[in-house]
Amino acid sequence: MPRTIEADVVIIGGGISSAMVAERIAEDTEASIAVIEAGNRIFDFENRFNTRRRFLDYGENPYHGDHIPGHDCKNAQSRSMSVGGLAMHWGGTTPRYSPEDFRLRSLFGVGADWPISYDDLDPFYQEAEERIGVAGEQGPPEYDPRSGGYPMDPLPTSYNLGLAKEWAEKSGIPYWRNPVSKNSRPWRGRRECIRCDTCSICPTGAKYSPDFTFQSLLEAGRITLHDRTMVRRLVPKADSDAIGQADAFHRDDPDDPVTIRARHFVLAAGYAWSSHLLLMSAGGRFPDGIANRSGTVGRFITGHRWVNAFVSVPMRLYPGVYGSDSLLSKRFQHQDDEAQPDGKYIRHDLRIWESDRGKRARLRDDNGNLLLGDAALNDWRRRIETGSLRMRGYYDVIPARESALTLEPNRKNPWGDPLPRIDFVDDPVSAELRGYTEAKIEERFRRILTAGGGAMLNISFASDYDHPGGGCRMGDDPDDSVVDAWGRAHDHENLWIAGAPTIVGSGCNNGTLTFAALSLRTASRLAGEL
Amino acid sequence: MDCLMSADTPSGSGPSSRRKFLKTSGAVVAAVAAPAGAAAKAAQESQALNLSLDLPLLHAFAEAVLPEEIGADGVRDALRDFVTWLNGFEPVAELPHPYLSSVEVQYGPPHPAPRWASQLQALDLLATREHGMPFAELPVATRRELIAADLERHDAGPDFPRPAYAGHVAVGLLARFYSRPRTADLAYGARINARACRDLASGATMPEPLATTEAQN
Repeated sequence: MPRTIEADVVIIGGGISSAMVAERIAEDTEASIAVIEAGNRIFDFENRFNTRRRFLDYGENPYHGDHIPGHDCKNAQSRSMSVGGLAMHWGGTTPRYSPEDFRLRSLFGVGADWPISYDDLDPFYQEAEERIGVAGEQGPPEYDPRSGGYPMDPLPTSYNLGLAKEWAEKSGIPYWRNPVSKNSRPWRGRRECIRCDTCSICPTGAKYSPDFTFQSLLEAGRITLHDRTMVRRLVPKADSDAIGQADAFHRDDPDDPVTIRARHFVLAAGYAWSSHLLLMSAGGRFPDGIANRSGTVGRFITGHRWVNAFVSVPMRLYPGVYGSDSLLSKRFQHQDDEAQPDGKYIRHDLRIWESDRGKRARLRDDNGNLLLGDAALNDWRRRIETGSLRMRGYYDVIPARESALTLEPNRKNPWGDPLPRIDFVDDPVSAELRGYTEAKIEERFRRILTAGGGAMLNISFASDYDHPGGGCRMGDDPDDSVVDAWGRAHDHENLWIAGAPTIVGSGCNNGTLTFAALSLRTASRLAGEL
Repeated sequence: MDCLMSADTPSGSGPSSRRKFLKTSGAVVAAVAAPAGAAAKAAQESQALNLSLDLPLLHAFAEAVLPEEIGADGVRDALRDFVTWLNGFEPVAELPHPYLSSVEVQYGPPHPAPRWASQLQALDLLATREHGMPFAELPVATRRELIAADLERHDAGPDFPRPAYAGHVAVGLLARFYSRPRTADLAYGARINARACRDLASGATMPEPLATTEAQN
């Protein structure tokens, strides 16, 4: 049976950006808000100790059904799709981007400047940190500027990470704690972290996930939530370029159309599905897709690559207490002669985690002999006299215009709609510097090893982009961007795009906090129009 | 309640008192396991498939592959944990989506119990043919030789997989044993207690050493 959903504000997508927009609009206005999510609603907090146990014992998915069979984006970061999005099972790591990330063209002559500065975003970073609850340690101000303190003190440094910090800083490189959205004290109705160390399935709610926000808004009667509802087209009004409706269907009744009407539409479907919907909506006066007069929808898909190393270190560590906690250094994201010693564009962060690489029990020794009985335990004891750590550097990659999400006409979902694919393409500057960058990061790993002692066990280099975003990048020029500095589509006055799709670059750090901050900034402007 | 790991499968003629104890302990394990939800469903499905490992035979097997230093109590504890784990196994379970990949949802392996049960039975037959007595009655060193030869035939690799993916029952048992936090504590000689939820401050200090009695147990 055909159905209609109407609200002042309709938010398409149910991840962390959607949660931020919904919460802010709900607080600032009396507007009615509807959230539309294609995936399932998995509000099963009470089961999470059990699902955690099964995750540990059997490796099972703790979020059963968090995907849509046959509905995927090739080369996307994850298959997961449900209310809460990827931030249901994220690690909760919440560094900010650096001020330099917003001014690459001005400072380094590469890539593009954002239409906003770090200072413009700083209050929304702060707001995002308050809303989701971030515990952090102030780093050196020159590398980690903030206008305010973290909402919560950092979680206590684990024994292993404390030793790792002393070891790494012998190199002269400063490290501090990577901030996390995990409560070091009770926060907004969620309890203090008890270090279960399975942050992808936090059984206590100490790690933020968007389901908490949505449930709170539902209980307060401030939103309606329509899960299993797939939007397949945005339709402009006949007499203006404003969006008049969204055409959708419920996955339980795919033959019955669902018409969605709103004064304002907010597209908060992540970097892949936001561009996908805009391109799927091509037709009539918009033959290349909605919001795509610039031809940049789906383009400039951005992200960063990593260099990853496992190292053996001359100290006894006890892995298994809090392995998800990490050290961070933004020393080489800064602009100075030590960070860019050869005048070439190179910027990366540095991370350290505890590890048990090379320190696990095993069935055969180095000579291939079977280890049965006491032999295995003795072999294990011998090898854990020293510890191991994981080091990583995420380095900035400038995306090319051809780094794009496109529709694959011959690959369709179960409802006949073409599925997207992403092809990551480096800007020529980054392509040319890739080998240099990876070698320089390895050199810096070895500098740390030389100073602190130890040996490289393994080093690897990412092929694809991590922490991706883009596809609807923001800019002042409507010919070269999809949305303005507030996230409003240049082409449609009542269409807003929130979070990940709007970023210009991915810098060197995890993106989720930035996506949340950008979403709050968009919501602040939208709220003023309601 | 029926038990996946019932001791009813003939396995030769072990001492009756020992068999009685092991039958009892198997039942206790089943009761302790008393699974709920998915685990219960998995256990029922397993029973429907008439899966069973010979518990006395498995015990004799475990004595030959687990560290001697854990003693008889340690072997029983490891077996109890292994059986509980196996009872709760759900075949072809939905797995987490791999990070940085858009591949279709993946599912886990089928139930390993039939494969492992047949391996145990084969070892028992082999023991009888080569040594003229059931596997469980062989000296530990001889049992270990038979198992080692079988592992070589199975081309078991150097590292432990997740237990359910183990091609050989010895690898499955050992993989489970060595993935247990208490085994790690034994190796490190410290009370790390990995995977346990704990108060915030407690992870900031070096884990306390295991008491001598804990290490022995």
